Amino acid sequence: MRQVIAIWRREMTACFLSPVAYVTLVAFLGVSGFTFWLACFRNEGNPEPVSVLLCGSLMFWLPIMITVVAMRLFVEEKRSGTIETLLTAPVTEGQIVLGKYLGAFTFLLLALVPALAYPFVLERLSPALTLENLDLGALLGASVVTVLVTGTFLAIAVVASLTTRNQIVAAICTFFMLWLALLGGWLLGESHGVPAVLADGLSITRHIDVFSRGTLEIRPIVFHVTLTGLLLFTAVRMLESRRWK
Amino acid sequence: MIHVRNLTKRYGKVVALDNVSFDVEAGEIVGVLGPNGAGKSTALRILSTYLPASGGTVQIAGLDVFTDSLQVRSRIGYLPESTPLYDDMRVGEYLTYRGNLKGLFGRRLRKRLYEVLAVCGIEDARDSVIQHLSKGYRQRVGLADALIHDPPLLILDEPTIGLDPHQIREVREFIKGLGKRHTVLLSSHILSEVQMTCDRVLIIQGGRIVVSDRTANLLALMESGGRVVLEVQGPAEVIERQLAAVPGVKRVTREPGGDWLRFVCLCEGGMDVRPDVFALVTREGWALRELQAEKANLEDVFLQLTR
Repeated sequence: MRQVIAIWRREMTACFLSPVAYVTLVAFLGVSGFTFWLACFRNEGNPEPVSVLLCGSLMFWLPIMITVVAMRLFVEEKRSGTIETLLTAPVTEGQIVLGKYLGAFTFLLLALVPALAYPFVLERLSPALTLENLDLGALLGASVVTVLVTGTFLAIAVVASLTTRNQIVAAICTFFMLWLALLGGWLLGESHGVPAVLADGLSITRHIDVFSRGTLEIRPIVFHVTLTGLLLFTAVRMLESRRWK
Repeated sequence: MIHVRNLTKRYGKVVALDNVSFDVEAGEIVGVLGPNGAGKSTALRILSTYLPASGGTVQIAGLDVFTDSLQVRSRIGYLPESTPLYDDMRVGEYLTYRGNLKGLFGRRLRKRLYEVLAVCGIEDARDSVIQHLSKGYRQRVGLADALIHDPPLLILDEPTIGLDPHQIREVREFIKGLGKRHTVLLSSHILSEVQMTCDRVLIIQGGRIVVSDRTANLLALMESGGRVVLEVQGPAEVIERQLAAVPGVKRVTREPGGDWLRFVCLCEGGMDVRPDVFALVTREGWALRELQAEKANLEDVFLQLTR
């Protein structure tokens, strides 16, 4: 466990030491904030809850930030050769994957926290907008679903970054898969031929919508946690696979 | 300490290691020597548990590198080729992190950190960012990492590659010093390095071990057929003929030169022909400015064995 903490700490510091992460962080908060402002502006007078708009604005840009944060996780180690010293240290592949995953996850959470302030900032800045629709329970739901989706997406990104030793390829793969997960979920939710159980269960956009309206359901939580676990297990196996050849 | 039997490694159809067997006793410094692409790094990577073998067994301290991988890893310090380090970390941070990975924490870690920084001579670089270090310092940081958990076995892949002559000498002395406490297995394609540091040499070529012998034995083997070089002034053909007639001289070749004629005499095993050559030169009254027996080095052995 102490080894996992060591790797977690290393990954966290690596994020904060790299200028790329800072740039992404600022850019993410900037564009998602702008998107949120735009969404509020356009929905003035509509009954759409603020938490839905906030969650939607964040989700729209989340794949890019996760791609940038995750693309270096394993690819950078492979490129610089440090993967060799890492894998010959007395730590298991599971500890490595978990430590790295948690490190990047913590960084992403820290990056997302300031977004909670958006509605309040907006209310201060533009008196024309009122936040009578802001329900703290719905905001909590939006936060929970953001954390869940971030976790799942990051796990997808970890698997993608293990498939290649090229950062660009890793980034494109990750981004493609994350958008596919969002878009596929949306299509699944919209299409009529699909049974409702399947659409409700698998559509990530549906989860986001339901949670950010203030309904906490147990099934999506189980779905995301299980999927994350499964993906991380796959990542561990992929890292171990070099020893099967 | 190391027990390798019938080790084979195939990359697809390419055979990188072909039925390699060798042993290394505790406390030995053994050099793995071979041209580039001979399979040195592959062998060391298998020993360090990074790569699996296609066939054969490797035991380190009685533990199998494949099935008891974790225990083996805690007993070896491995320095891969080209010394990969995290460029964005400071030396102290990096070594602390590596120590943590190797199960060192708290006071024990601080003590070891202090020791390896001193042993590797990088105390002054403790707060430097690794990115800004010179090649020599990077190498020492890599060595410090390999040493931090005080492993009984050190596996060093090309530890002096890319260093300047001063640094090479330092690292070499350093490795020699390590031999007192650790077993060291290092690879190199620089022969003089192995000659000066190692007790024993394994020469690998084309994935096979062509020679495994003590360094001293190999050198003795070569010295038995030495060369004598001399530079004289006089009638070229006469000198060449007379030199060839000296007992013990097998062959005489004339090397191109200026005013002075330069001859190389290839001698029979165990014979020192220099007194006879000197007597000949003084008898004939030629002017002599150099007479030297060239000691064979490992380079000659190497070239001869891997030809």
